[in-house]
Amino acid sequence: MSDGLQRLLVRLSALERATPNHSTIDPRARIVVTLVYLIVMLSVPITRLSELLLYALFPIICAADVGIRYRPILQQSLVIVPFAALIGVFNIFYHREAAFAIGGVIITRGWLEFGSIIVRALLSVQALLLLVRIEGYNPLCRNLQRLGVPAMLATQLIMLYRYIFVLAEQLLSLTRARASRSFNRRAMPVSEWGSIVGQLTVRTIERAERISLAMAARGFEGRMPAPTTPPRRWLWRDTIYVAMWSIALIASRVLYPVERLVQLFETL
Amino acid sequence: MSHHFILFDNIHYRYSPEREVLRGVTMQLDHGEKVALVGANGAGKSTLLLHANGLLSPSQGQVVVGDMVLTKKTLPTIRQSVGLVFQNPDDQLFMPTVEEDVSFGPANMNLSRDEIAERVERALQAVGALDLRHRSPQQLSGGEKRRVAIATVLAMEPSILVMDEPSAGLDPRARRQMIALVASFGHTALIATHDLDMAQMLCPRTVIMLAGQVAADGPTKQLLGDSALLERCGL
Repeated sequence: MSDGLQRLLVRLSALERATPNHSTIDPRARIVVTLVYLIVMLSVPITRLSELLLYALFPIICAADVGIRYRPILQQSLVIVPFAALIGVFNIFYHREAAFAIGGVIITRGWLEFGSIIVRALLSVQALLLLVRIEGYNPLCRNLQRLGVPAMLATQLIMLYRYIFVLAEQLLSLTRARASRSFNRRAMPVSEWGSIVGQLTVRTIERAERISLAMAARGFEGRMPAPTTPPRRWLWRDTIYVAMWSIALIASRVLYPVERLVQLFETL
Repeated sequence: MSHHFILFDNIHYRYSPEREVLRGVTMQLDHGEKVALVGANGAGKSTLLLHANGLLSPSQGQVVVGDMVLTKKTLPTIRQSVGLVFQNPDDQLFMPTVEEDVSFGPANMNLSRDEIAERVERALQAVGALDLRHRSPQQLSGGEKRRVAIATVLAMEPSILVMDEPSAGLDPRARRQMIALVASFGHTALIATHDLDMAQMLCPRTVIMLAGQVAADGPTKQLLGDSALLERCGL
């Protein structure tokens, strides 16, 4: 468990900062394009799974564009599958009418919807993970603020992220202390869980209090100060980037290209 | 107006009705004076330090910095004058890069970008950590973290430095570097420590605390040479 936590901490701290030489595009442009992508992709009717699959190209293209490997993004996004499955599983029981058949196997509408919910969840998480990987979590929050998100909310987002570290570090030290005296006994009795959770709560609150005091000692009054590096200026190429992606995404939504392509093949 | 001296005037503090941690502490640090604050664990040293810039408010008594009594109104000015370096640098460093962390204080003071950049550079230069400016605080060694934590406070250009255990947990070389660094500062400084050798090297004056009260206040050499006093105070 402590190995996993340690890796999680390393991965989280890597997400904090922007990918070096990531792009010449303004972070706000990427935020807007990601937002357009999410709206367009999530608005595809639930039974049009084939159309939805087209949108899997977006994270792949974005990753390739900035030189980030897509595979780790895909792997990390899988963490959402159990939650999405929990939401989608009821559709399987509600909608039992056949949607189509593949080689004699009938696929019901419920299964189609279930697949659609999983794909939507995966693509949404991938798009957001990519955005965080490219821009870095902290700069992203700053740019959200520049896009009009209230300063208080941006501060909360930054602090929430810091709290994950506080929590994980305390959990790491607790589990290491336990492991060093548990002699390979892996299973943890409920009583130990209770005391670990209790300890964790107390320790994280105390640590968070100390951090908060240290921040207050340096003049923090509830809002993160503006970044000290001059903000990037919005350029023409940012407008073009947003326009091109928005047109492409909206066109793919309105024109149903996959369906048309299938029809074309059928007529041929 | 000088902010370079600090007076703790009959400070009492209770964490709960039955637990009084500070029981009438009175001491004054004059301009440029370096004072060591020593005492056994639980003597109230860290609690007293938190009073220095208003992170805790006394249940009785007052803190005076320069000619200002610490109140809600004077808090922002006093926090700029009194820089507090925490015992654990991990509690102090929380931004993604050293540079951002050091600029956090000055940025809260609403200074211009140029002024902030200059202060960050000066502070990092002062602690010899300019080459660490783009690193993540989490990747630094204990000694480096400690120096950066001091830089985060120096960037606010305080008149008084208050440090909690600056040499704790450092290897011998990092400890020597830390002592040399603090010795090079011209600030008025209050240094809480268990490191009596460091106290002797840095501070001509020492205050010994025992159970929330000042047990002794005088020249470091004299106090730390009194083994009966040290024994009585759990040192």
